[in-house]
Amino acid sequence: MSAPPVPSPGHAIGAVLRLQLRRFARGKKLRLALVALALVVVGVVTARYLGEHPDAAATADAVRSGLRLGFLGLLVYLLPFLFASGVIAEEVEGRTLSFLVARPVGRWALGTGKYLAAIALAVPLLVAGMLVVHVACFATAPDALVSELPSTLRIAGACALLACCYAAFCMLWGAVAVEAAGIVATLHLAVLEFGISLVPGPIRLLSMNYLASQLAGMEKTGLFADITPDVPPLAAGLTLGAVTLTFFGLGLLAVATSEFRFSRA
Amino acid sequence: MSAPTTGTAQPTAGAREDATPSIRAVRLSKWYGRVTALQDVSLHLEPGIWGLLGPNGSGKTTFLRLVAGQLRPSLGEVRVCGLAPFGEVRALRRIGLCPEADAMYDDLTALEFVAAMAELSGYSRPAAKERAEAALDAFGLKKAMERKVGGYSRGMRQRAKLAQSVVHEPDVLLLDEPLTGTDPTSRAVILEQLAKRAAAGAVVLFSTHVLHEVEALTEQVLLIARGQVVAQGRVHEIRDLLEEHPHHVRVVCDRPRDLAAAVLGEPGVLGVRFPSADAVEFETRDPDRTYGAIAKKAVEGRFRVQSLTSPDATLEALFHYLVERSGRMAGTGADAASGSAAPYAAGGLAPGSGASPTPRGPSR
Repeated sequence: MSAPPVPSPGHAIGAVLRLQLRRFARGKKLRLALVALALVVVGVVTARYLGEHPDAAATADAVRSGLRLGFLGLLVYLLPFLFASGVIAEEVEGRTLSFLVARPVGRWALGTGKYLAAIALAVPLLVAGMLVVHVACFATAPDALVSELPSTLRIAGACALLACCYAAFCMLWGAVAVEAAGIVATLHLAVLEFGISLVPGPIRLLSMNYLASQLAGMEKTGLFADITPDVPPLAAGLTLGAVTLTFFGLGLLAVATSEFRFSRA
Repeated sequence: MSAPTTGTAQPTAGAREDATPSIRAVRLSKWYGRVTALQDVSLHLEPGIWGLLGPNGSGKTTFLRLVAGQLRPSLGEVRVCGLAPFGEVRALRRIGLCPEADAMYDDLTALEFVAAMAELSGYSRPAAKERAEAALDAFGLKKAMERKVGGYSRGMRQRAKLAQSVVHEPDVLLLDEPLTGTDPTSRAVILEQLAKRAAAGAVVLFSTHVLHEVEALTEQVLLIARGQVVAQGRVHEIRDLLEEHPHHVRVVCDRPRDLAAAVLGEPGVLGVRFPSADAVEFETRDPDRTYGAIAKKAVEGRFRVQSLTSPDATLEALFHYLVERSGRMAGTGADAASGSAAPYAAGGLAPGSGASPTPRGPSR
């Protein structure tokens, strides 16, 4: 017999990542995400060309509003939810987790590989969608196409960071509340994130979506937006990163220590 | 084989990896809330094929999951090649697991699935693919390996699951009901491969609730019931136990007390009871003879017999018998306390006797 050596962390994470990406590629979620992305892109571009914008600044505002609504207000919730909420929970529900935890990759690598697979799809799709919107919306204004690119990239960066954060939320809930992963993640995103991002006052600081919009340099919206404190971009970015790492760490801890449904008699 | 008797073995100290494949459990217990799934199991399995035999819900799968590192013991310890397997990658790299559930990645081809499992075991992508092809070929899936497993028959899925369990040549192979849903051809292929793994020096532990499945593979069995190992020994000795332990024969007829009086004096009949007004139940050590006597007396006495059954002509009955015999009926179930009696040791495989396993080829 020749037992193989224990895989290195890089090899282990890579193997999990590849398996998960292959499963995404074969499953329905990627197709659903592409359809949602296409609808949002078409909607934002259509709204830009149907609206009347007297000058370049108004056009830029309209595009930013479209990005806020379509991406920061919709897709940034949907895509991480689609890809991350089931990475652990569906393995448990489908009783295929046995195959993975019986392998010497280590549960930390298992959680990390699956999380990376989720954001490896969600983040590029979001960023690519935004760039397509940018090009399509400013196609008739070459100057704005260049001058507004930093603004779009800043929004894309904030959106990408927020997607990583939401993926961490979803993976955590998928690991600790397997049977209700979708519901708990939805409640978290809908109430704590979307809902609180609209309420007035300092409580809005609890919403990572609000922090991301501050990081993206967007104007405050929602009820009594003017009494909501401003957050410096650096502080917003650091907070987002810290919260992401915290939830990601908690998700890994849950994966590493849980007996999942193996403990069913 | 050496099988430490409950209460005498000492916990394994330290976390030194043993070169020799082995499974050791010391006073191993597992509770799910208030339900005891496994209680006070101590054993030591060395290379060879071992049948883990028990009725549904007896704790077989829990034991395999503990050995596979999917569950943590509630009490006691389990060691695979000297290492506690839960979260221990050095142990896991030496374990191959074929779970019972008919669940796989249906969107992947068998080759993709098994190659992915090989990659997860530490092989490079080319090596993993090569090994996956060889493993699938060994289980007779060479021509179908490019097809998605979602389109496989039950037997083919089972073989694909087994292929992933051996793709990394594990030292300890754990198989949960590996022959479920397989046709005779699949069965022959599977048995041949398992015998090969054992011949290569692996510990092969497979669970089943079907006695003849064990007989096709090995002489070595562990009997588990109500979460406890109630017997260990050779298959033929288990069969002998089945023959020798008291059987019950229940007759529903018009005059059960008269029939009881007529049959009670027959050789082999140990006792009689009346479970209902129209039924009599005989306890016998010689069921064949008793069946004959009942038939004869029924004809002679013109009894109107409605049914003649044996409520315990199953392996389940043997388990209950052994549980009672080892004095371990008390203490199982939801309010279990620690069991303390020794499991029944059949014939030459008394606990600690050091008898060596004798894997058999796939003779059937």
